[in-house]
Amino acid sequence: MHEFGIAKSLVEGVVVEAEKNHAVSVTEVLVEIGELTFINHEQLSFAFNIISSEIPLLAGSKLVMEARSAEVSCSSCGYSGSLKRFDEPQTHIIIPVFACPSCDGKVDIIKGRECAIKNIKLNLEDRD
Amino acid sequence: MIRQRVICFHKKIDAGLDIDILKVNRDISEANRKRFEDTDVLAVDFMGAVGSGKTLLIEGLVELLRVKGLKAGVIAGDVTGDDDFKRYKSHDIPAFNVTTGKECHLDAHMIEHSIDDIPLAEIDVLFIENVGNLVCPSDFPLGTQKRVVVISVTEGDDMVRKHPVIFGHSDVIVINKIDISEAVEVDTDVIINDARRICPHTPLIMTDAKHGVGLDKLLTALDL
Repeated sequence: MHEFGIAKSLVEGVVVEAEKNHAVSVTEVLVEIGELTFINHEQLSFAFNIISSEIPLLAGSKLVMEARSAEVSCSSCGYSGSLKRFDEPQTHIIIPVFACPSCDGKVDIIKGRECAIKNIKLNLEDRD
Repeated sequence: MIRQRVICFHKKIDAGLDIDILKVNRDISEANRKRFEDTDVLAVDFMGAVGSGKTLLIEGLVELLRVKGLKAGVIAGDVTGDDDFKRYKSHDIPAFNVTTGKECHLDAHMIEHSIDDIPLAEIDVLFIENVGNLVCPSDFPLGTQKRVVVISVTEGDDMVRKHPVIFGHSDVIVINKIDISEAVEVDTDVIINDARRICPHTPLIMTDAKHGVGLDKLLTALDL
């Protein structure tokens, strides 16, 4: 439900960067979406297309979304890396486990809660 | 007449960035946290399913804290209406009503404004009742020192495995309405086992808010 608000912030961020670079158009926006967020890729894309179509600088631009896997760190054993997961046999859904894959200790989430603009493809106009 | 032609061509560039859209909320939440800490207030975000008993739990905690000589305030978050807010006001405590209109969660910005209406210097604990939802509040930390997630047996035995992430982001898990588990034919052991395998380090408190059962344990889990 909050994808529309996120798409709006996304577009605002892209416009600021495009204007900084004196771009005439934006053709592609690359966003990394953390595994532990509840941002639905399809809904975000839908909202982005509606909002960006109203802004000449972004009209026709493409939103590319990449999922960023969650990472945790453990203060007990020093582990840093992927989350442990288990398969739910009834649903085939992979469920994260919030404990250290190495020692079962308590972990801090260090990656996977982001929705970050990583790259934008811009057209710059030069005149000769 | 020969007209000079302006030749336009486009130079394409990639602008590498790292702008986190959710960071805006996190930055405000950190400012909120500082205000809580500067005024020695423990703020607790109560997230949870619709109808899981968040309001009744908080009402019970408010009265338990009063017995301990501690004063609580409450921010009541709802999509619409003032039903919960009126209940909190009846306890003669500072309370503020936040109606999100259409949003399915509170965010740090709403709390930033709401706490202007709560006398932080006069209270020890601030409970924030989030909008009933096991999904969206998870993405929007409010700046509270503690986050509690509440479910009850009436929602079935599969709430934890259906919504693992919000449990992973919480400091305390509450299973409420344990007094009626037989009536609704829900085996609480199934819920407990799910919580244990997904969040083995998170304190799990069983409560019957209607009859005040388990509230003392919940306060202890909140370091109160």
